[in-house]
Amino acid sequence: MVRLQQCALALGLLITTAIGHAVEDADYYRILTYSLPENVIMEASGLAVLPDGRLAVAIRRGEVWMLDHPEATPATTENVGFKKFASGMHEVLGLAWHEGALYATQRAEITRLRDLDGDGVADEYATVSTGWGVSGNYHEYAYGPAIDKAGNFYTSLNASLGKGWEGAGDEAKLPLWRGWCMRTVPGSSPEPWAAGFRSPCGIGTDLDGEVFVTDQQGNWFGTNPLLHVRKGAFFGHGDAVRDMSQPNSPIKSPGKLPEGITTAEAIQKVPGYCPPAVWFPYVKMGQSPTGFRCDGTGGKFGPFARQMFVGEFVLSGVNRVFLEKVGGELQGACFPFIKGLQCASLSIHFLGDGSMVIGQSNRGWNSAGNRPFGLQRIVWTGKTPLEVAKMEAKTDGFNFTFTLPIDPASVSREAFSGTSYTYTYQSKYGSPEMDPQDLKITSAELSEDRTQIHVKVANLRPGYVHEFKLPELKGQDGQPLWHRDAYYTLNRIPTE
Amino acid sequence: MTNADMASTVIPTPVPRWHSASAIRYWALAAAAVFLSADPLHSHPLQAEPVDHAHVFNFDQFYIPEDPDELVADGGLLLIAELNCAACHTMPDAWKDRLPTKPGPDLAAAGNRLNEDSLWRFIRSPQSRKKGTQMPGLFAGEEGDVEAVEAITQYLASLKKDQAALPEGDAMRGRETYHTVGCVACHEPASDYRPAKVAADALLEKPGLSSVPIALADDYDFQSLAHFLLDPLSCRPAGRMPSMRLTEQEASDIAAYLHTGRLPPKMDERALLQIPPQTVAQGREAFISRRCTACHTTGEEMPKQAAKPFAALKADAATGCLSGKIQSGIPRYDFKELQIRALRLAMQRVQMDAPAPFTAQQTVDWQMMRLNCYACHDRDSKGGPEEPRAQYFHVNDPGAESLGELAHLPPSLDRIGRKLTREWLERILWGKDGSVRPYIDTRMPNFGQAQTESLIAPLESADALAKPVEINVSGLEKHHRAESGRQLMGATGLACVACHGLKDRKSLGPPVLRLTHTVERLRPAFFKELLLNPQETQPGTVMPPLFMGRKKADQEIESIWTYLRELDGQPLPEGLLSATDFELKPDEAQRPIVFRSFIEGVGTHAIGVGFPGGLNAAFDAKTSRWVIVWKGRFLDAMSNWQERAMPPIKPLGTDVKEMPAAQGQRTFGGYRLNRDGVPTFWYQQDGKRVDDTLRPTPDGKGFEHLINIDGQETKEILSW
Repeated sequence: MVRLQQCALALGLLITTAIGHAVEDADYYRILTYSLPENVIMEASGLAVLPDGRLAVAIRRGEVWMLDHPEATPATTENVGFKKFASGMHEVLGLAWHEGALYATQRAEITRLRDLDGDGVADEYATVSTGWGVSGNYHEYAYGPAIDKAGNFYTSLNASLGKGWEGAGDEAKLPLWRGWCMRTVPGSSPEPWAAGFRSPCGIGTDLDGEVFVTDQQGNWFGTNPLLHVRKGAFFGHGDAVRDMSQPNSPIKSPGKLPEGITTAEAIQKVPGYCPPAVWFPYVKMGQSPTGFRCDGTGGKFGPFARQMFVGEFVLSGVNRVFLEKVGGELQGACFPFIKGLQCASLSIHFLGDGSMVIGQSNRGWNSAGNRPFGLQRIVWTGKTPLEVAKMEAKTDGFNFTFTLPIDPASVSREAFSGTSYTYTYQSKYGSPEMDPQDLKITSAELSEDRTQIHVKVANLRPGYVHEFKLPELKGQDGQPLWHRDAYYTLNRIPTE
Repeated sequence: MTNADMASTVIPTPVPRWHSASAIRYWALAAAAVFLSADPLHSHPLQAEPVDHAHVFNFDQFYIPEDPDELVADGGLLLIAELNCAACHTMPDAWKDRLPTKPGPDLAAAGNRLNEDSLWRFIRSPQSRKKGTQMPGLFAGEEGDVEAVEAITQYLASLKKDQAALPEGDAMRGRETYHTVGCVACHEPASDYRPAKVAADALLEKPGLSSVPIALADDYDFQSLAHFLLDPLSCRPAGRMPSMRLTEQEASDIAAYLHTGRLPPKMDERALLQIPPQTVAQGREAFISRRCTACHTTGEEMPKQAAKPFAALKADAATGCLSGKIQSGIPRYDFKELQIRALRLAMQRVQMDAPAPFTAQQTVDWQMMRLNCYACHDRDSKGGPEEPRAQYFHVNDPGAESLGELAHLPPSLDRIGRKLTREWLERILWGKDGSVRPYIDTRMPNFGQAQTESLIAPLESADALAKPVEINVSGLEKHHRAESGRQLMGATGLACVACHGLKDRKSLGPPVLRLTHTVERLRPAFFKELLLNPQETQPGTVMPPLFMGRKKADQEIESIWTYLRELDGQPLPEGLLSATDFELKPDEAQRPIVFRSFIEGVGTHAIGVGFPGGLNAAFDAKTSRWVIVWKGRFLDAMSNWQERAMPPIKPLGTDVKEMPAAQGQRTFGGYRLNRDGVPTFWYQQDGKRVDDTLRPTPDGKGFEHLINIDGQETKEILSW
């Protein structure tokens, strides 16, 4: 009898998969691809939207392109209008518009670009922040700027992976602040702000101006994290520890870092260690998070207002993040959103019409999308997907809020399943999921208005990722749940 | 215009260029005698020794009288299919798929192609006007035949279409094209034409296999002939004459060539017979009643008159098409003895049994026979051009000569069904380009979708491996990086570029096919199969077994696949990359180029400035000073723009000179470009703002160095 049930379960899963595929992303979000001017290698590493609606695109070849009508359809070069605005910079990996000017981050500085004579081409390249170490090591990428509410600039600096170039002088041996995030108050030198990054390829703010960074799985990072940057935060990568002895370091050195403990244990044991607000479980949620942007479109992009959309390089897609404050710290969940883009996502922005632009390039790494670079736009069709809108931690489990009411017939405790796990904290590369445990789900109750399900879990574990495979839920009219995967990083369990 | 006039205009030109086909009609004979020093009557393809029976190329190629009945019966089925017996004689149900009807020529523009006399002669007696034609004679000369032929002539002559005028042809050029693009795989080569690779003193071997006759071409109107050559499928949808993908000019050239040596028409039997005038309407009626509609279309719906069902035919009937005495209305093919034997045996088989089901390979073989793919390709040890024809398969790139047959001859079709993607097979077979061998002159003809679509699925299943080679092309693995593949392909990697070109670049060595379209063209599993074991996968290939014994062969092959998949936005592998691919040069606007990089001699905060006149300098944003100046070429952006390791770059030019060290404490501010794009750098020095500009002197021989401190400008001239 038990066997039979297992069979039935397995069958159920198969059928579910088949139905899952029947939900087409295109029903909810359409992907539009920009035609590009010939011979322009649009490796779009940074995006900025100007108040007049134009889109500025920074490319890895050190140029900035201006798109007059980024919302034009079809997105032909004629309709969109491409014009080179700036050039000759050193691998720009980020772009922002702030108080009437564009700011681009090059290898060695943040540069303000202005067009003083009004001919549509930048003629002033002013250095607004410089001074971090640049040894000539190829991996010393600099990303940003993110700009907070007060107008301060943030730059995330890749750890040096390997040797420098002796032609770099003193910096060849001691490139300062690699693996750090720098804050620049306009008019001053950059100050070290937070530390312990590996390859912090996405940097930006949420709608409240809080600064976040996405980083890459590798040494010290068992999988890919979303990190909430604050002064003095240490996110765990060992290379940043050296510069904590500098007099202006805001962080006291934790001393020799332990190896082989779990990240859940590191929260307890490593002095000053600040866990990620969200872990993106490796492969399941992609292999390389990049640029991100919060949805400030006021609903024009669908039912996920204010949430964070994070680019995914290898899977060539976009993931979604919900954050909440628990015990004074931000933590939350990640969900799949869109896959199947033409190329690796690198930068994200929202246009005035509420659509999302994705800047793309896969140079130097691998991606499922097989185009080497490009620009695509994701447009909400106006049809609301049945999807988890919010996943909130509770004292006794999780509360899922859905975008649409749920058919009660599709809800049952037995149909919920999940596991929790953590990662190894180590100087070696990556980590398997450690100490996994099936979630003991004791109840799943649909709210009276049918938009929320409260799932009680008997074995919540702080510091662990709690992964859910949601049941094959249905909307009132039979509409299936769009994505059934949800991953909550439970650094803290709410106490009330 | 007399012959002498024409000859005198032609003589001074070293290679005679005969402009108009109509002009050469009556004088070309003389001219050709002068220039080709051979009698065109004997040299021209049209005058090929004609076959004397309805010609089915592959029947003549593959069946001989010594063959056993069982085999000859197969040949008979081929004849039944190719001669379109099913068009009049409904096949038993079991054979309908095996022996379907074959669309005959469309006659909607027959009146453009042939004049009344030519039409009349051909209809009256096809085998005497065009030896070897598959068109049967239907008129034995009985009562009413002469009138019926005349009436049908009137009807067909009335079928005309407007056609765009094609350019005048050049017969000499046409002769060259005819002998190089592949026409002679099926048709007769001219005996006076020597393929380039046949030694001057060698005897030119004559094809042993009979040629498909083209004897009616000289009766064709020039424009119609050119149109036919340009797009044969539109009037002969069966694809037995495939499109050679000619340009309009090439089609005209070949038409002009085929018109060389046309003779004035002889006194005509038609005129002598004094046939009573017939109307077009009578002709149309006869066209239907004489069963012309069984094979032909005219663009108009017409009834088809069925004959006896195939099952009711008697192989030994005294008056049938296989008999010695053929009456009017019975098709006359002038079969040779072996054909009659084959047809009788095949009839027996069809009438007795349902066909044995085909394997996938048999289906492929059957269709390849019908379309004569074997004239150029071999598969399963069958076919391929016979030696005397193979010598006409040319390469246009001397570098390919060393590859021998591999370069000259069309490829073997063994394993083709698991080698090429469906999309690529369609492109090749349906004439949507698809050639990857630019060094070969012979063209893969377009046989049309209708005739070849049925080939693709059987090819796929005939060639599938029981256990397919596994390859991961998801792009998700860490080694799925274009750059890794690029490096493997490069000159210091596995050196694929030694033999394979990419995009617009030729290989470093012999011009083996370019890999530009590999991922659209090859199935990934075959790509891996081939790379892992080239000789096994493609016997005779010159591809070396580069991956044998390589521990990471699987991953490397996948990396190369990734690179080829992303090729259009990727730089070429080392070896094919040109030194100037990434070199920064002034554009049309002739503005200075500003370029930040790691520059040797300057550091990690270097800003290079290249002026159009060949003067260059580099500023260090860390120490806020000019560090070096140099002459000639500026910088190569390869490191910044492409290389993962981003190594420091060197000035490309000469006369690198160091500038004096800076005075005082400086803090860098940035730079501004003036209207001409000349940058002025600014920095704070000891609390004062300094604007610092280097720009070429008016004579372009050195720099002016302008320094402005708090409004005080100094200028010095730098020459070195």
